[in-house]
Amino acid sequence: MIEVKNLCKYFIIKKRKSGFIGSLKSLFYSEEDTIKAVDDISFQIQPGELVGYIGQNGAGKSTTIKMLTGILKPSSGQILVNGIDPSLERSKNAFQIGVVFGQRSQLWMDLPVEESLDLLRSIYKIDKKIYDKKIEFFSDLLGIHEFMKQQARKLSLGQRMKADLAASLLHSPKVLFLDEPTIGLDLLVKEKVRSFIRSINENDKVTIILTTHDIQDIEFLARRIIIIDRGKIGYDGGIANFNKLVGNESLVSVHFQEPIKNLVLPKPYIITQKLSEFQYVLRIPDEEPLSQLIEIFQKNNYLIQEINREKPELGEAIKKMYEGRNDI
Amino acid sequence: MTHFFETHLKFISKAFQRSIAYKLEYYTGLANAFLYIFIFTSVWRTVALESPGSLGIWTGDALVNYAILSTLIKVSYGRNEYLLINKIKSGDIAYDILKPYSIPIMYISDSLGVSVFQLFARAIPLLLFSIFFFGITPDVNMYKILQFLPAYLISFLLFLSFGFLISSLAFYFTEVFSFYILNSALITLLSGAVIPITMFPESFIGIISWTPYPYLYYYPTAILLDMPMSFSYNELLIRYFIQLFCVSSLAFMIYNSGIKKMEFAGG
Repeated sequence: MIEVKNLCKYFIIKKRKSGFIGSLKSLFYSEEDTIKAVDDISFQIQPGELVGYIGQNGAGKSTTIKMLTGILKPSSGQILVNGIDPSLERSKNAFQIGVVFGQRSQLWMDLPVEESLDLLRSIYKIDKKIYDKKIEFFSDLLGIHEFMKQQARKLSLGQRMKADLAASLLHSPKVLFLDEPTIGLDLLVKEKVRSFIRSINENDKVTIILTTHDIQDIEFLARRIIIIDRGKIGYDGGIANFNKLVGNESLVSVHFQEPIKNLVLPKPYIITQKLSEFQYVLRIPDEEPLSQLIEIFQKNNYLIQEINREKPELGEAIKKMYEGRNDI
Repeated sequence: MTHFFETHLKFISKAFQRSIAYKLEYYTGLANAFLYIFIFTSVWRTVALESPGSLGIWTGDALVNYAILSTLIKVSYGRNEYLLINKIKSGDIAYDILKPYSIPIMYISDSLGVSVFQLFARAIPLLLFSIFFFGITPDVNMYKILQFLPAYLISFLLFLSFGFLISSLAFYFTEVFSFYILNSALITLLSGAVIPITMFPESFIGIISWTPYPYLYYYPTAILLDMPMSFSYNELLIRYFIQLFCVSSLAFMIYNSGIKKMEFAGG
């Protein structure tokens, strides 16, 4: 469904000099710098797949999505979305893709939601009967009927996101790009949005690329993740495999009976978090028995109230990958 | 083709609905236009009374009729530059690029919707108001109206091209308000919206007539008032087309190059 080969996107930025003199100089001359936002990445996505495309701020996620949708032209490389090059055949591509940018809206802000959806019906040449069925479907799953007559400007963030999701799926796209669809939403709305995304992926076989900073979105929705770091792909594969690759360590959370100001431990134990003087989180190798650690605490007269060992979550693993850079 | 018209009719209709959504803005706009006409008719009447010999061919009544008609034409054009400027600045234009329609045609349709609103909600009430309160008596017949309509239509397209040009500058500059103000100032001075251009010195008129500005309000008003022109009606239309071609080509050039260079930074 989506083929990306040796994709690159470079931006040229002008460097402004600081200070008064620097600002004056910049009026006549400014140095240029090339930023490699996306640097030679390749991947394939099969029809019906739901892929989590993740990375830190500025890693190149959104730039990739913008190239996949056709908004940005690649500096080099090739993209095919269902056989179409998005930057060359943008109009044709528009009928087969849906896009939601979490921080923007495609609704006409001064009009009621139903007017925006009606306009999209005309733009995408959607038959009235199919349109009515779609609206019924979105009302059942997202409850959009509750705010169809409200001006988009007056919607809450959650309502706006639901309406944007409906707007992006009205023309039954084969591919849906979701760029941070749950950003700023409360837990209940997040859950509803996630369930909706899963439902359209499983039932309608819509291919979905999801970028997000919310690891729970990824854990709930994606079976495959692509991690982009500084413009390059750091990992592409299943979530379970990723955990195995990163996770030859476990997390241990300890709750002490008395406060400990500075907990010092020998190698190979690493203190990752001090939640309070009573509570610490440690990282220990998988082969290291917990009894050994308890023994160290006893020797130092640290009285334990509770101790738990668990495998790190996906978020921890990704964090570790960023910290280690290119370790994987 | 039917689908194309249906979609763009909806754009026009939505822009009309959007314009009508803000009642306070509508009433203040109408009050502004009333005030504008009141000030100009008062000024021209006073000028005509104080110095009757200094206005050349212009009599007090002719100036009042001119002020009212040019204001009505001006009011009937909906300014819509900030539709695109805001989209470009916020990055929301990304959604328009992803939709299967042409952004320039969407802009024209949207501006047409705003102008239809302006025409019915502002220009027509103002015309009725002017007839009853200022007693304007323009000698308008069907022949003049038939001559006026093509000029009015092209001047409207010229006005839209100016707006599109200013909007497209937002691709290059973070703040385009200064261009917007400059264009508004040039329109105020050179378009005949405030002062009929024949009142300027002869040498200045020669320069102005090469710019697109007097084609916005002066010539359409001059046709309605049957004022003498230094060229025939047919030549005027040819000049109109040339001006429209030049301004719209420049606007499209700026737009096309701008949309290619747009980088949509950020997440």
